[in-house]
Amino acid sequence: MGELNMPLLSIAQLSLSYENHVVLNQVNLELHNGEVVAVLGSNGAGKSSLLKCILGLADTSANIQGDVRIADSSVFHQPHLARAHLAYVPEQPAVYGHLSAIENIRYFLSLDNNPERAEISDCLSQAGLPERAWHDPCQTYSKGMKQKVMLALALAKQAKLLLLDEPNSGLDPQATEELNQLILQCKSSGMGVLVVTHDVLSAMAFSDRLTMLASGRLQPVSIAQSSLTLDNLKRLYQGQA
Amino acid sequence: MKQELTHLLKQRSILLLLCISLLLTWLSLHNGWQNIHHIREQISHAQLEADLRHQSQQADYASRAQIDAGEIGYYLFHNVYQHPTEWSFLALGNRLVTPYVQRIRLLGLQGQLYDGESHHPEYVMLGSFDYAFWLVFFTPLICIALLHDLKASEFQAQRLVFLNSLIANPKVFWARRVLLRWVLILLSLIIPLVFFAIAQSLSLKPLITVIAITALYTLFWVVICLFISLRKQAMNASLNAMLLASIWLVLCVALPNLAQLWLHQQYPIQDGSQIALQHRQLVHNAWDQPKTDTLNPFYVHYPQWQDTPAVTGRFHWKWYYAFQHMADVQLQAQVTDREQTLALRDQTTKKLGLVLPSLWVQHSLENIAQSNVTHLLTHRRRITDFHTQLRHFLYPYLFEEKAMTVNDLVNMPTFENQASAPVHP
Amino acid sequence: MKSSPVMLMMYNEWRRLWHARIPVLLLLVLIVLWAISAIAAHHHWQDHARTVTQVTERSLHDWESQPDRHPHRVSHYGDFVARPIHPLSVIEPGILDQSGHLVYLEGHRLNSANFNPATEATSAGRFPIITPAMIVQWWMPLFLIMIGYATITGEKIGGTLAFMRGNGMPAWKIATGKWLALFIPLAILLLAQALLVLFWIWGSEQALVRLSTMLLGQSLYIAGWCLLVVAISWSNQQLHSGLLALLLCWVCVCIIFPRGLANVSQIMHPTQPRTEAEYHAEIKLKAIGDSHNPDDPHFATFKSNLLKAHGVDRIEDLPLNYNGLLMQEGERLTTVVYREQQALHEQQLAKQNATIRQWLWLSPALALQYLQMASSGSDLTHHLAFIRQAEDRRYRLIQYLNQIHTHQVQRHDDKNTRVSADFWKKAPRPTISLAALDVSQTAIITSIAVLLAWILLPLLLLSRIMHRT
Repeated sequence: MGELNMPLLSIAQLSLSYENHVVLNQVNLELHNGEVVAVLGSNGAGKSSLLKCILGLADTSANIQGDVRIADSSVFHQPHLARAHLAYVPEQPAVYGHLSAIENIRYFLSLDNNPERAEISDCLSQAGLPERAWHDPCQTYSKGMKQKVMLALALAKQAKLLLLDEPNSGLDPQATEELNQLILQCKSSGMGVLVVTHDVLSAMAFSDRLTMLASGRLQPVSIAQSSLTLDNLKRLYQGQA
Repeated sequence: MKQELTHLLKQRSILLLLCISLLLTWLSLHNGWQNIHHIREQISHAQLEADLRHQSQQADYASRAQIDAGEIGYYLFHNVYQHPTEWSFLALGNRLVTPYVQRIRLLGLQGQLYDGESHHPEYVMLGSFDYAFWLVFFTPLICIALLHDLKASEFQAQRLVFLNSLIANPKVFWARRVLLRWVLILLSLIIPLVFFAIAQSLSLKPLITVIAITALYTLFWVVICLFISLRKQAMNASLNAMLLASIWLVLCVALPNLAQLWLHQQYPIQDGSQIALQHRQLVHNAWDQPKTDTLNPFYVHYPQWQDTPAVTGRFHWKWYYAFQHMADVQLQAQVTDREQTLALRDQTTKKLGLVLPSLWVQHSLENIAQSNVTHLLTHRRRITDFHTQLRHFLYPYLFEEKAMTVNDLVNMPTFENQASAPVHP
Repeated sequence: MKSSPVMLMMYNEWRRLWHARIPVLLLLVLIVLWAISAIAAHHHWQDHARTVTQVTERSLHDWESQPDRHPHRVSHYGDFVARPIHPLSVIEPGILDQSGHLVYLEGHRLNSANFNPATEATSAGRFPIITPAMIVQWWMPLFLIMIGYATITGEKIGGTLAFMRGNGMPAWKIATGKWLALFIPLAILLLAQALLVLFWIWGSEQALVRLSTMLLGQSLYIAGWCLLVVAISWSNQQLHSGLLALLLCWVCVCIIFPRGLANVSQIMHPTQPRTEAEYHAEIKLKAIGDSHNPDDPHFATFKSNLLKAHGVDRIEDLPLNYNGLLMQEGERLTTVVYREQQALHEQQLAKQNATIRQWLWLSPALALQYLQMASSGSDLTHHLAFIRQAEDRRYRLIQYLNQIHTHQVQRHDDKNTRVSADFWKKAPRPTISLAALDVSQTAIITSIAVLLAWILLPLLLLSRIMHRT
């Protein structure tokens, strides 16, 4: 099938600038089904701007060039169509504290008019949220649990592309490990996953490819587990890889 | 929509707010009803006493061979009542201060018309808690509380980008949220209203009007909140709340106050007590003047009694009632002027209401409740008509010195059924 | 100099409020609103003051320009008085619009001040009126809530409260600092108002006592609100819930309770409608006797006693005019009845007052209003004192005229006699003056007690929750 060759997410010559400074400079990226790509970058490197561009929610006052396509729909021209294929998991899990996990997912699913959904309870167990917590209000959850709710939503939405923003921040080692497993699970089910993070170690654990966003440019990084020293990392983040 | 509703109602503070709104709406209706009920009771009590008095008077008159018509005019008081209407409990308006029972006798009307009621003035000043007050003054606050942080709360919870990545159409999404809140606010007002109307079996048409006014007014506030809380930079909930509260303060307090001030400056009127005072002066001066000075102008108004016997003695009732009436006539221009100014004030208030929704609602509700100054003027006109009928009834006995017996008193007009008898000018 | 922690706390809070910008803006709005209210109140006050002077002048002029007349005609011609108003009522007009301010005095009639302009108000008059007193009573607390609801909750959310407590800052010092930060600016505003008003009322009756009573009440009230804001802000974890709780308090204390209480008391102890009271008075008057009826037992005894005292057999032989004496006796009797009626009315009002006082602790706003009305001389008790003064003047004036009737008019030519106008000029017409503040003593004491309790309540709440961070 031709679809297999067509990238799930393709970013072509994407530039984003404000009047006096450039945030993204001719960024290119392709991501296929069943592939996990990590975007590394230091604070303020433009990671969240890149994410917003992919979501089609870039700041309207910015000057944008290039194109972002998800499953062959341009996010700038058909944002709704493009967004229907993706699930976004923000750094702070955006669940409503007064609703339970099930209610949250039900509510979020009601927001787009897509009728194709998976069974919510299946998704929740797949995401690994203990069943006894399903009906408790989310304000009692830990951050890891909230993130599982967000991932369950992605599963329920049957999204093809998963966007994760700093998924590991604030998680204990066990929760990080569980999350990594979950990402790999998504990958094996054919989802494409884009992770934006500054945690190189985790990224190496689940990514097929690493990229580094520095001074507005996105470049592939190849780094072996064995050569991971503090000096190397520093240089990496300074964009001298 | 169902999901949105669960989402909204699971927030305890919102549920609490809606319950409070429901409770206070009921309280305002109940309080208004109690006040009107109290007025009705007082009126029926006064009617009962009046009936008793009437019987004893009849017995008294029946024992006399002949009745002095002049004394009837002087000593016989007639109660006039301002009955509340079916929907008066909505907006108590003037009814809180105007006398619901007044007594009128044949003396000059302008000396009797402006007596107030002996309420506790401090409590009259505090005002009452009726539906109109609740709706005009407080529902904006409920709207503000529910709608000030539409966007800001999501932003502050770092949820806004995520939501935007989910929603199919932002306009539909926000419209749904706003609409649902509006409907809930509206329901918290309408449910008690409808229940009340059913329980008291009130008529339907005013109910529909009231519901329409309520819906429009709350919609107005919802739209204002929407403008503030959905604008692009609406990311600070407390800033929105302050902005909206300031708008509320301006629309519901400052501008109506200024409107009132302007109205009084633009259309000044004389205090009612001044009219009563002038009336007294006129009446007293008449005692010192030659009787023809009173009677001749009087006969211009009533030529039919021109040729009745002249007044020669020190005192005659016909002269007495003539100067009472002439004092009214002399004040007529001032009184009409005053009434016109009051009517003009009301019309201007209505016009101001077109640009000031709070005023429009208050005015419209008072119109339904019939407790505005125009209704007071109508009531006064009814009293004037009744007074005229009384005069016309007694004048023949006074001027033609016709003998009066207890049987004649049966035909004496009463305020309650004056509508059936036409008034001849 | 090293500042104490409390002062530091206060400066910090001010810095926070200053940088947040909104509170400063709100304070400005409040001051603008205040200015509007002062202008409106002054306008309103001037209207009344003008009426009072006009009426007083006209009544004097009308009275003195009377021609030679029969004294009984004069007693029906009558006299009228206007209620004096204190310049402080520019702050709180009180019941000026609701009670009427003009009383007509004449022989054997009791007229009370009974025209109230509020009857003829249009819909625009139904909105809560803004006066400087209302600003303190309603709007200042509201603005205070909006300015200060985040004062402690914000520190909690930011974690600074726990930090300060962890570093050994006692909770009471934090609370005091926050309280001072909120209270001092408002207290300065209150003081500024008081100073301005002091110039305005300089030289009026009891100016200093009245003003300081008012200022005391206002300060207690606002201090209580500041405490409540700090306490509730401390007890809440979320900004939203704190704001909601405070607004709810405001709505209840300032609007629902006062209006509700007034309504309840009026329904529980209704005042008799004026018409009914008048009918009842007439029945009583009929019962005491009819001076025109020769067979009336009371006046028959009166006559025989009089004849006996002068040692004559016929009234024609009396050295005095019997008609005048009859008038005096009649006036005495009717006055007793009218005063009784007035006392009954006052009793009804007192009953309503008693009901409200029982529940006054529910609403410090109402307590403050009582205090402000009392100190500006515009409350019910001042009004009733005025009515009593007017009635006293009426009685003295009418009895003076009856005396003239008795001594200056011959009975055989009674109806045709005219008495010299000089007598009217010498008639006792004591000036009506504003009652002293003491008449409202009960109201003042109750109000101050309630306001003190109003401060204790949030203090109690604060002391119970102050350990939380």
